[in-house]
This record gives sequence, structure tokens and C-alpha cells, in this order.
Amino acid sequence: MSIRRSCVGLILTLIILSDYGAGSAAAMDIMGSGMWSPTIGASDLTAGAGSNLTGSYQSNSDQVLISISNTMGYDDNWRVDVRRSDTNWHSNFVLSVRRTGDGTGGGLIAGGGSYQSVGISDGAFFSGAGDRSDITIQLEISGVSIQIPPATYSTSIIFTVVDT
Amino acid sequence: MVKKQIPVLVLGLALIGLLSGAAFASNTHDATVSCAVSAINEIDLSGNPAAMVVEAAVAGSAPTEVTDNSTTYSITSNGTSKKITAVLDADMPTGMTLKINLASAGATSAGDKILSLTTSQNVVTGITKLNEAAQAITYKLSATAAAGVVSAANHTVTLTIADGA
Repeated sequence: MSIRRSCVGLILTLIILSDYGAGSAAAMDIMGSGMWSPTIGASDLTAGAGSNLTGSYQSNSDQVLISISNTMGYDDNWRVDVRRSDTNWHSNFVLSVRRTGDGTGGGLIAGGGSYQSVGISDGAFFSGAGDRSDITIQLEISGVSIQIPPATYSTSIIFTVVDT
Repeated sequence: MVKKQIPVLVLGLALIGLLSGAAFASNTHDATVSCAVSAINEIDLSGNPAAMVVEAAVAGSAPTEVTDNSTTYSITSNGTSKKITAVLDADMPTGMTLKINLASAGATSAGDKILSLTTSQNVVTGITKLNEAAQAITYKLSATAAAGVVSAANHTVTLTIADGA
């Protein structure tokens, strides 16, 4: 009787864990690193006193690294969307991103090679299939001028992997 | 009977623990961008005016004032309610007056202002988020007959961007 109960418990547990495990294996992950903190000042005037600021600023080409993992394999397609969440962001600023490298790994990666502005709603950035590591991302801020008062402006770029 | 069920429970919890790592992994990644814009208050002059000599007069009148408008200034400020002040490095000799006038297309010129060592003059006011180049500077030097003959001397005018409308 007791052995029978234990067996039933074990089988139920395994059934539950089996479903649980299958669900988590299907959930792709995105991980990354990198932040950007440019400082804009008088040295950025295009021609000294009397001139305006340089209008746009680019980060290093590998400022942000992104990795996609836990895919089901080379033919498991995904898409990375991008948006921003402002803390204190000036409305004149235009924040843009572009993919500068394919990263490493099997599968495919495509799109996102040209700068595209990042809005407050998700927009498709690039797509691919399978696990990829260290996909390089470059950032750009444009719309800079002396009309923007001195302050520190912050926003977060949110990359989301979508299983397609 | 109870002892036999514990390993099953432990096994179940252990497996849940192992698999929960994947469940908690995220499908989003955040990258913070923090852009600092510093205060910018830059002013530059094109050069020095030519030597100014009061040497003529109409009979019966005070010596004729001389004017130089050969120089300009350029300014960039991302601040609000700024002004340009002017001050001289030494007072002019008795009977002599040096005036300065800074034109401004995007702010307010105060017109002719007498320069001195002791009194800083507001020469342009209402500067807000402004960049303009090659704005005219006019110097006017005058003397009374009572000043007599005065030896040539160099003076330095200092222009400063300051707070205040």
C-alpha cells in the first residue's frame, strides 16, 4: 500500500516536472552587457564660441553585447525587438541603435545593420535562429544642440527576444 | 511509511530547483544610456582694436570722439537668463572716457556703456540658449580739453558671461 502510494507520487511528480521542463526549454533567453554615458560640453562645439554643438554622437561599435540562448536549435527562429524606457530624457534627443556584428554560434542572424530610432514602443530590430553569442550593438544620440539645457539625461534601452 | 515518501518529495523539490533556473531567465535585457550635457558659456573675440587717438577737434567744441568697430565677438551659451559684463583693467585718466557697445542679434544690447575698473557693466542681457558669431563691438574714446596731453597706454577689456538677465 505504502509502496503503491510512493510510486503514484513519483509518477505524478515526474509528469508535472516533464511539462514544467518542456515549457522552460521553449523559453528563449536574452542576456547582455554594456551601458553608455557620453558627456557633451564646450569641446563639442563645431567651431568654438558662436557655433552650435555637434548634432550626433556615436558609441563604440561594440558598446552593447547581446546573446540569445536556450533556443531549440538552428531552425528555432527568433526576433529581437527594441524600445526605450525614459527616466529623464530630453524630447529633442533621438536615440538610435544598429547591429554591427553577427556574434558567434550556429543558426542565422539578419537585419538591424542600419541605425534605427528607438521609440517607447517595441520595434523589430533584427532576427535570427539558434543560439548566438556576443552580437555587437552600436548606439547613437542625435538631435543635440545648445537648445538642450545642462543636465544628465537617462533612458534604458530594452531588448526583447521574441520566439517566432 | 512516511520515511519512504520523503525521498520522492526531496527528489521532486530538487528537480524543480534545477529547472527553475531556466524559468527565471529573462527574455529582456536592459542597457542604460546616461547622457550628461555640461553648462556651456563660451565667448571669443576676433582680436584687438586698432590704436585709438583723440587728436582732432572742431574749434569751440570738445575734442572729436574716435570710434573703432573693427572687431567682433562670438558667443555660445546653453544657459538661460545670462548676460555679458565688461570691465576695464584700470580706470581711464581724468578727462578721458572709453565706451563699449556690443551688438546682439539674439539677445539685448545695452548700447554704449562707459568702461571702468570699479564698475562692471552689463553690455548684453537676456542671453538664453544662444549661439551667434561675429557680432560687432564698437569702442568709442573721447576726451575733454581739460584732459590735456595724455601718453598712450594699453588697456584690457574683460568680457564675461555671467548669471542674470
